[in-house]
Amino acid sequence: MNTVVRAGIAGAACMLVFAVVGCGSETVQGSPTPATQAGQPAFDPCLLPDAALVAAGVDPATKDPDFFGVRLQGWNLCAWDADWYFLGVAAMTHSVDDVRANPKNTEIAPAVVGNRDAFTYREVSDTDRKYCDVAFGSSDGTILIMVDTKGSRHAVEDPCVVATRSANALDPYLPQP
Amino acid sequence: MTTPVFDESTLRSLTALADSGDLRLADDVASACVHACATLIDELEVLQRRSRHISTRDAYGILASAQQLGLKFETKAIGPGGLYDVLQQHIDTVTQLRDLFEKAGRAYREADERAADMIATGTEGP
Repeated sequence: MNTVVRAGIAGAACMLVFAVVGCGSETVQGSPTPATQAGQPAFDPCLLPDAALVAAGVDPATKDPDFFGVRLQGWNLCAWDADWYFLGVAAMTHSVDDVRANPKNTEIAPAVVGNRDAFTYREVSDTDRKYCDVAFGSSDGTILIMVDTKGSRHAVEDPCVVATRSANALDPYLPQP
Repeated sequence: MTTPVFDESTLRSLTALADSGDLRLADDVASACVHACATLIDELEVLQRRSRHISTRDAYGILASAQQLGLKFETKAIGPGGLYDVLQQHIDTVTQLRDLFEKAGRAYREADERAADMIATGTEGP
């Protein structure tokens, strides 16, 4: 029986290595020139204060910056762990209209974050309805607040509700309109 | 579609054996295995979230055609049979393994407690 179990763990570990190698190759390939504006947002979500992150329901110690650790032009991204989901905060140089018009986004619905107009959206490919983002404008580009249900968990509540609530908790610490 | 990491029926059989107390793992061994599975699940979940974020970023190009291309890439990364799904399959399998180890550890503890009770009461075992 132990042999079977050990073989199982080894198999899982091998597949993980395969997955990691596969993901790594994605980040080093060339990427298209960023769209509407050059440069980088000044706002860095990784510098959000711990108090703001706790208010948003995440563990500040779990900070995971950028894309597989690589900062990509036009985007500043940071993500953290919460109980059953991850929370990501991005500042990007694309406009809110770009987000609205992106064919990968669907179910665009109005939302309010502080005193700004925002909208939530899901992704076309998200047939399991595991994630939802909220987007809104700021003086430093577009802000995205992204909620991803963890793969081993079921969503405890609607990810769009969590994203909007988190955005409101973070609003005072984000670049204003 | 991708091939499952494990034969699900094997895992189900092993879990049924642990449920009935016929598969036991010493407490410390089971705990170590549960912990290893939990760590692996955490790592796979982070990879899954990162793959979603990179796919989101890639979907913003300068031209509409780039966005369409982003959508096509997304079906590879996030769509059916894509990286996201493969990672999900791994998460599901390791989650099942974690449950198996938990049950096998519990079966060991319960057998141990029964034996201790029998010794204490002077009852003979089966």
